[in-house]
Amino acid sequence: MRMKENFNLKTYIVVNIVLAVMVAAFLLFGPSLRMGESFTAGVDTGMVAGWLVFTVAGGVLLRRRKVSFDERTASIFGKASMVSFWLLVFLGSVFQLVLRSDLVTLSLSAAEAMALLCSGGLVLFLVVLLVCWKTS
Amino acid sequence: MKNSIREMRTAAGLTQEELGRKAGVSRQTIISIEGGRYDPSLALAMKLAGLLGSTVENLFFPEEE
Repeated sequence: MRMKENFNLKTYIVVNIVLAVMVAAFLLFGPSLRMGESFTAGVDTGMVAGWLVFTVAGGVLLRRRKVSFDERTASIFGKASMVSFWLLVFLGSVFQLVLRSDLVTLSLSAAEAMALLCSGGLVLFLVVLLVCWKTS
Repeated sequence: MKNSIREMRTAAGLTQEELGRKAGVSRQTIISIEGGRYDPSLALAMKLAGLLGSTVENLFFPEEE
């Protein structure tokens, strides 16, 4: 219920501004962190993709009055976030073992790995969210 | 957790939509609670009990009882 009360147009705008500042700051100051060009590009892509997803999904949810952000919805989102986060950590740890293995010849640049992490995490979250939605 | 919300609600002549609106939750949430797939928070349970003229312990009870 708290989420329903809090997620309104004002929150949507404020979060968008915060995300915009974060993205702009990283775009401006990211290169000075000297993390490597491809890694910085990967993080930039991930951040901009996340910002876009929030903007589009938030806008759609605000327009659809039938979708109610009550405590069940909040609990489903929380559960899906937690499950997908730990699944992503697990898959990431397995994946890095595969990458370092001599048996499998697989090489990825930092940008590709970052893009894979962001898009994989997003897809995983959506799948888990759908499963949680159907089962609760 | 089992509950007697469906019986209480129909006895009060309320639809799931109406009960949901009065409690400040969606119809889907009422459906999930009635079906036993979602256990509401204490605050929502107390609100539902108040709306249905009952108490939380009369509305919700453990599976083994």
